[in-house]
This record gives sequence, C-alpha cells and structure tokens, in this order.
Amino acid sequence: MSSTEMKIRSARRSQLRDKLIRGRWLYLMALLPIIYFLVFKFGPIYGLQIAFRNFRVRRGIWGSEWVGLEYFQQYLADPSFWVLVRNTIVLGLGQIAFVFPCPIVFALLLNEVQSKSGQRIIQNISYLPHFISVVVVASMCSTFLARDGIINQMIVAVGGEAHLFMQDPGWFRPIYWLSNLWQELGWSAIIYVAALTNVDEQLYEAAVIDGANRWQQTVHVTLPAIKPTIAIMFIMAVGNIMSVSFEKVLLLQNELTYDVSDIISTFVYRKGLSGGQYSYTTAIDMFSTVTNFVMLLVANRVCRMLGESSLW
Amino acid sequence: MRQNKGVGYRIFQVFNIILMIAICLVILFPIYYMFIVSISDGVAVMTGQVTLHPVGFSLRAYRAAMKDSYFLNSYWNTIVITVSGTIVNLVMTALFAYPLSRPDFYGRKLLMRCAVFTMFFTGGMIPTYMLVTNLGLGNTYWALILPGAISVYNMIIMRTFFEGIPFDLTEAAYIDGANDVRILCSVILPLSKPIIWTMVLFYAVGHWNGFFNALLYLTDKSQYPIQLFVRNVVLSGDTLSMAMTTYNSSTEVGAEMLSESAAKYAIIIMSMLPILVVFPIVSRHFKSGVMIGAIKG
Amino acid sequence: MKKIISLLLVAGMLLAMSGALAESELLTEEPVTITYMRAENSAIPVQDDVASTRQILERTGIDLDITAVPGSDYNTRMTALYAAFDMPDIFGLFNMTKREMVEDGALLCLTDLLEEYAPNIMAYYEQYPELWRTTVDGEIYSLPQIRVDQNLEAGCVPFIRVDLLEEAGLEMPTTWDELADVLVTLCETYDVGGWAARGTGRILGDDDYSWMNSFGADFTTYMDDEGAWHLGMIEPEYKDAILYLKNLVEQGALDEEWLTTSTAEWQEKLSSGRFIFFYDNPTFASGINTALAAIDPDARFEPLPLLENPYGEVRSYKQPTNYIDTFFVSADTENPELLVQFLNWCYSDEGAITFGYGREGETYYIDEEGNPQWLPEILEKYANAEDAYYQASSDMGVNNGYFCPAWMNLTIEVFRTSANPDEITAQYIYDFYEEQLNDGTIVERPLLPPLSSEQDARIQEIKQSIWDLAKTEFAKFVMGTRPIEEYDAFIEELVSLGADEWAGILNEAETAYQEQMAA
Repeated sequence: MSSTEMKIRSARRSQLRDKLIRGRWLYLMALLPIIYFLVFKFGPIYGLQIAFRNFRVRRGIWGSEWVGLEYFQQYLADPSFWVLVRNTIVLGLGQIAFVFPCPIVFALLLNEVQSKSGQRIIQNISYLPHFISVVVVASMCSTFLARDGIINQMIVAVGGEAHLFMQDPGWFRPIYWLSNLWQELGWSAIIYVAALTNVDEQLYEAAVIDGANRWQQTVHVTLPAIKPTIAIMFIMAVGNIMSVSFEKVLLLQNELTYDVSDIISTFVYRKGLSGGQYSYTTAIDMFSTVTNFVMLLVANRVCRMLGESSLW
Repeated sequence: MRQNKGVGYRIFQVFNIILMIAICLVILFPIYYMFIVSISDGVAVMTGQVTLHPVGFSLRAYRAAMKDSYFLNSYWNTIVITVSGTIVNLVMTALFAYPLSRPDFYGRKLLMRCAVFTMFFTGGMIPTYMLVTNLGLGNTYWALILPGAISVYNMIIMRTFFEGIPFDLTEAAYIDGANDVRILCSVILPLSKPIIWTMVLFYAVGHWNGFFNALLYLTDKSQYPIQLFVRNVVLSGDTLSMAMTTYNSSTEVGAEMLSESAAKYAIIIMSMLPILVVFPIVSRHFKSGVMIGAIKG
Repeated sequence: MKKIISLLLVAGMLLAMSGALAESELLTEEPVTITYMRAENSAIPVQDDVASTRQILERTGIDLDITAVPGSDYNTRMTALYAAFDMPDIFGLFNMTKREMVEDGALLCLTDLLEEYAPNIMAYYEQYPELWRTTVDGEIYSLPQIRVDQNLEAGCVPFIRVDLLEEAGLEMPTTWDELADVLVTLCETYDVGGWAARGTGRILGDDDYSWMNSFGADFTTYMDDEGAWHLGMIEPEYKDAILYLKNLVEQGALDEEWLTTSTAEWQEKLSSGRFIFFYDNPTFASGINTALAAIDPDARFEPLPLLENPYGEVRSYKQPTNYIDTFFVSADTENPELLVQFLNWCYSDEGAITFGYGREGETYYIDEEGNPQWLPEILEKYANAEDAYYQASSDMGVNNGYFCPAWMNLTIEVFRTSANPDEITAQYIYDFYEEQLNDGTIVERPLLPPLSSEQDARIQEIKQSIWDLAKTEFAKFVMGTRPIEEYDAFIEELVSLGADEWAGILNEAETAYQEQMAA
C-alpha cells in the first residue's frame, strides 16, 4: 500500500470521525426511530422463519422443527393457490385499469372549470370520502346494497327487479372498485391538480399561437407535463397490486363470494390467525410479499427504461 | 392566458359543470341519506318510505346509541388512542425525518433505503402479531400505537419539507452555539407548522379510522375503539343491547319504533362526526402539505 | 312429577355434600383473581361489577374477572391468545380441538385434582356417566355446564303467523310438504316474504339445532337408530333437504338473504311483518310478538306442532340438559388447587343460587322453606323495563349469559312476562310440546365418543378440507347459483376429500368406547 493511499484513508477516517462527532445529537435523535425500525419492521421479517418451521405455539420459534420449503410446496399444490393468486391479481389489476385513470381525468376536467372558487368547492367535496373509514364505507355498501337498501328501492321504483348485490360473486369486484373510486377519486386527484397548476403558462401561449385548440392543448401540453407524476403514481400502484386493500375485502366478503373475493391476505387471516395454521399461512404471506416486491422492481425498471421518472 | 371561445368549448363547459355537480352529489348523497334515515320515524324507515327527505322525526336511534354504555366508552377510547397515538407518531417521525433531511448526516442514504425497503417488504400479519404479543403489548393501546409509530410515507413528506428550509438558518444557529436538538425545536419546527398540521391530520385520521389492529390485539370489549364497535354492530350483526331496544316493550299505542337501519346509520354518523366537523376547517391548511409530499414523491 | 322428585333428590344430595364446606368459609384469606373468557351473546352484554361476582368474592374470596368477546370474534381472539401464551384461567371451547390443546400441553389435567378437591363435580360424573365421553385418553380436561333445574327447552321449533293462516282460511300444516304449500300460498296472497332465517347454521344445519333434524337430515355427524354414526351432508336425505330449500327459494318463500342476516336483522324482518315463518330457538323470538302488535294488533306468531318429514317420521333434537366441554382450565394457571376448589364451589348449591339469583340481600332472599326468591324491589325494577329478561340477566350477572357452571335456567323467566303477559316463555314452549318432549320424539343429540390422537388428527384434516367448502357450495345449490345437476358430482368430490372416512372413524371410536365402558 502506498503512502499516499494510506494518507487518503486516514484523512477519510478522520473526516468520518469528525462527521460522526459533529452529528452526535443527530444520531441520538435518530436512535429511537432506528430501534423502532429494527424491532417493529425488521423483527417481523426475522420472524418470517416460521414459514420454514412447523411452528407449534408452545414450543416457540426455536423449539419448532425445521421443515424447509414444505409449506411452500404444499401451497403450490393446494387447489386454492391459483384461486387466491388470481383473485388477488384481478382485484389489483382492475384497480389499475378502472380506478387509476379516473383521478387523472377528474383533475383535467376540474382544471377546465372556469371559476376558481367553484374549483375549490368541488375539490374540497371530492376528497371528503378519503377521510371516511373503511369500516363505514363497507357498512354503507352492505346496507345500501341490501335487499331493502336504497339501491334496490330505486331499482324497484323504476320497474326493475331487486338484486342481492352483496351475495352475487359477479358484483363483488365492481363493488370493490366502485367504492374505492368513490373514496379515493378526489384524494388521488390532488397530486395531479397540483401538477397541473405548475404547468408553465408560456407553453399554452405558444400552443395557442400555433393554433392549437383546447383539446390539442390538453394532449400536447398538459398530458406531457404531468406524465412524470403519472409515472410515479403508476409505479406505486403496481407495487401495491398484491397488497389490495385487505381490510375492505375482509369486511365486504361473505361465504357466497369467496370464489372471487378470497384473496391471499384474507385467507392468511382466516386460516392463520383464526384457524391456527401459522406456518402455512406465513409461507403464503411471504410468497405474496416477495412476488409483490419483484413486481415493484420490474415496474420501476421498465419506467426507467422508457425514460420516465422512477422511484429510485 | 389560455384563450378559446369556440362554440364546442362552451358546450363542453356546460357538460363539464353538470358532470362536476353530479360527482359532488354522488359523493355527498350517501352521507346525506344515512343522516335522513337516522332521524326519520322508525316505521317509515322499515316500510321503505324514506328516500330523498326525512319522513317524520325521531331521535330514538341516537338515544338508543347513547344508552349503550359501550358506544360512549368506545368513543372515549378512540379519543385516547387518537391523541396519544398522534403524539407518538409526530415525535417519532420528526426525530427520524430531521436527521435524514440534513445533508451532513452520515449514513442518511443507508437509513433511507432501509426505511423505504420496509414500505414494500414486510414480515406480514402473523410474524407481526407474534412479535407484538410476545413483547407483551397485547391488550394494551401500545399495540395500536407502536407498530405504526412511523409511516415511512409521511416521514418522507416531512423530510422533504425540512430539506426545503434554507441550511443557512441551521448554520447560523450553530454559530450561536445551539446543538441539533435545539435547532430542531427552536428553528426548524416553528417554520414547519403547515407540515406538522398535515401530519397531525394524516395520523389522527388513521387512528380514528383504524379497526383491524384493535380486532387483532384487544380482547376486552371495554377497550374497543369506535370503528370496531361500528363494525361489530353494522357488519357482524353483533348488535349490542341496542338491537333489543327495537322492541318497545311498553305496549302503549304510538310508542316510537326504532328501525335497525336507523340505529346503524345513527352510529355511523356519530362515528364520522368529528371528521365531518373538522374537515371543512382544516381542509385549507393541509392541501399545501400534501402537495409537498406528492410532487417530490 | 317424577322429574321434580328426582331433582329434589339431586338437590338434597348436593346440599349434603356442600355441607362439608361451611358456607362462610372462604377458600382463600387474601382475594385471588381468577380470569374467565367467554363469547358474548350480544343481547346480554357482560358487565364488570355485578351482584353475582360480588357474592362470589364474599363467599369464596375469589375475584372472578370475566372478559367477554363478541361472539363472531371469539374464535379469532382465543386462537390469538393461545398463540401468545396469554390464556385466561378458565375459557370456553374455540376452534382448537380439545385433543390438540392437550397435546400442546395447554390444558390442565383435572382428573386427580377433581378427585381430591371437587366432590360436587365428581358427583355429576356419577349421575351423568355419559360425561366420560368428553375425556381425552381417560383424563378429564373439560367441565360441563350442569342444568340444575328443569330443562324446558325443545330445540328449534316452527313458528308461523297464525293470524294470516286463519285469514286465508288455510289448515295448519302438519307435514313439511304442506308447510311449503302454505308458505307459497301466503307469500302470494299477502305479498310478504316467507321464511326468515339467520346465518348458515339455521338453514344448512351446521348448527347443532336446526330444521334439518326435524326434516330427517343433518349436515354434521349424527347417530342413527341402530347406534351407527353417519356424516349427514353426504347422505341422500341431505339432498332432499337442499332440494326442499331450493324449491322455497324459487317460489319466493325463503328469504334470499338468509346467509347474511344477523340476529337483529332477522328479528326486525319478523317483527315488522315482512316475513311470516321461522324455525328457530324460541328464546330468540321473544319480543317479536310485542313489536308486531304495534303494527297490527291481530298479528301473532305461534308455534306449530312438529311437522312430519317426507320419510313419515316426526322427530327433533332439543338442547341438552348439560352442555359438555363448556369450561377448560389453562395449564398456566397459577394455583390449580385453589382453582379446582373454586370450581367445586361453583357446582355446589350455593354456587348455583349465586349464578341464578345474584347476591343475597341485594337481589334475592331465602324464604322460610329455604328457597331463594327475588327481592320485591328487583321484581318491581324490571316490571316495565324494555327487554327485562336480558336486561336483568346482564345487570345482575346471572344465568347463561354470564358464568354459570351450575345453571338454574328458569330463575329469570319471571322477567320475560313482566311487561307483556303474552310473551313466549320457556314454560309456554314446554307445555306446547310436552307430549313429544316426554315420549322420545324430541331427544338430545347423542354425544360423540372420545377419539384417539390419530383419529382426532384425521377428522380435523377432513373437516378442514370439507367443512367450509361444503357450506359454500350447498348454499350455492340452495340459491340456484350452482346447477343442481352437479350435486352428485359435488358429493363425490367431498367423498374424495375423505368425507366418507369421517363416520367410519367415529364408529371405530364408538366401539372402542363401548368396550372400554363394559370392561
């Protein structure tokens, strides 16, 4: 090792020491949060090993026998495997296909409202549902869509026939998506509205000079301007495909709709925490987390390759 | 300014306004509907007469809810959880966000990565459950507060805001001999009111609306928060003593009837009340905060 | 009369035994807390400080701490606490089997402790030898709830709107087939829904008591007249029952929402006059007639005599006198001896009176003949109260909604009629079905034999793979969302998942048990 290298190293080391000393209060501050992350976020990741053990409660994690990939194999052989994966993905993909574009359109339309105070009122109303709890939203779905609920009353009033929406597997997904849309339309739009207000006015002026009409302005100026925002939101949405809103599904599903409504997380909850099959369901859960994570990485890579902004 | 006065655009404007009004109605109607049912006469509700406006007037549903001691109890529990939980959230989030916002903080990249990693990769329901109960947090409100003490997403928003505060201020405070804790408390935080209120709103609403952790970790019914109460009454049909008040045992004629749905809606409305009241007041303040997080992602 | 005499004899016997334990003698000098967790009946909220727990503390020195969990979450909560090593001292059954808990070492083995400290409990094992069916490898791990006064219950029974029946000039149905016709006719005539039911259990029969028993079918395992076990869901009678339901749905005579209807919603459907028939435990129908009268003074639900099923039989199951496997003791309990002594007290006369009446001087007094009676102010307090029956039970912590190993089930009956003399009481139901209750038409469901470790594990395995699946699919057949042509194929699927093994295992276990008892 040459002496210059040594010098650089020791210089770096002392620089580092300086940094650490100078930042001692900052480290002290971050200590509590770091402990929090180690315990509550990485602790459960460490606990994932019960997926590889035949976990018996009273023997504890360490006392339980190591079984390797047995539970993963069991899961892949389980007839419910494909049903669960399919239901989870369909629900998540549908969310992207039907629900994801709506706030963008809403933001664009809202932007076309001339009166500023009108815009503000509409926007304020539109994100109110975001603050309503999932319990209440699910309660509204189940009571409004019941046999004697308001929706069926309306259908009967216009001469239709009452339908049991909550028990019809064909309606489960639409109910899930629509209620999500109701709840998140305005909230998700905030981001796009903000992006729209930041679009450079000069671009529009230039477009007007070129003779572009309103529609052409939207297509050629507005959309490209908010494309990075859309890309980021899209990656986030893809990253969440497998983690569909577990709570809402749990609250909305019933035995008649399990065929389409049972997703990985509700299955884990029902068979794992209620049914006591801890290892098996942990393996299932881990499987979906890993899949999810991989999908996120892929989506991020794809966006970067397409030259859009990416998460990292 | 953008100019365009074509006839087509005028027509579009009219339709657009109509569409916007329709969206607002679709959003508001369910809440309005639950309200009118909850104050309508029980028999009118049961026979399906209530659709667009209240029929008769009865506060029986609200009286029945107030009579249920578990309802009031759960309301109070939620307040306790929301207040204490939000304080823990704020302190923890700020303690992490501030160091990470400092360009001179060695290791910030690594810590940031680890934090973001946990956003997308978690231990899952069962290991988390085992951990929390093994720490002895079961049956305490800590189980609802500690596992979610820092939301990485909120932390990033806060960090981004802190980064926007000129570093000169920090440097100046250093020269005056202040340490980092003092700087955070007396320089940074006073300048961060909008983001703090945004965080208060986000976290508080999260606590107010949470039910699943309570379902997992709390055993004793007297500890339940309001959302779990609502879920038990409305969705699980575990109607508490309320349901029984449907039958007015006094046989006198004209006794007020209480319909099941009016009772449910009354509980729902009351569970949303704080949000419905606070929302218009704070909505102006938090928008700026959301955007900070949103744009920088 | 015979019953009453035998009851008196039992009571006398108990009194003699509990004499050994002088009434005021505390089990412990310092108060000791014992925790108990149960599923809560939503109609009877469990309150903290009530007359019965006060009396328990005064008479035994035990501070009984009861935690109640809403019925639908009970299984989840218990499984969760089980996983966290955080079991209460005493708890009820949840979805771990007794055998699993024993093998995990989670249950306290009671056999020796009972022998030593609990003569009251052992006396019941003498009196009801079938209780030995609840043992695991011959050891006692669970305790029954003993009904110490008369069992007036008659299981689930049919109720119909007699006023409509009369108005339409229809005969009282006497068979299930006639009932279907009557319901269809009434639905068409009066534009009402027919049969209202709550949850899957009451319709598909996965509850122990449902209309299925009377129809001659069963979802779960049952014993035939020859003493052989069967799994009901794969038997042909079950298909007939499903077809019967399907037909009612098609004709609009069975509430399509039966699957998701909660008890409260069900009560409202009936009491608002929208539905005209139910087949359920009459206890839950209490109050319906009163509410109905507010809408139409003539409207009234009344019980029907038991219906004859398509196989020409009249039969039904009633609630057992003693509920088995009701109380379990955690292996982690701190002082097993004291706990068993306390349990022994619970099964004494004094215990039974405490669980039935509350606290002496506060809620009841002992009359000249030595019998407990409600205090006049208590009777007065609930005379006009809403739902006095439930309210009184909840306020005082008495009867089945609380903790009562020795159960005087009739003590609070008096509150049922206090506000409305016409209300349906246990006595009314008993009188209505008295003949059939006494001639063996309505019987208790036979108890399962004890299982070996392998037998239990195999049955659990089968149950896990078929139980929920069967419920879901049978519901679809009833609703017509799955074509009935696929029914036989579905039964084959169940069989391929091991459904036919289930009954075989039980028969094997039954034989082994019989041999063991003979020896």
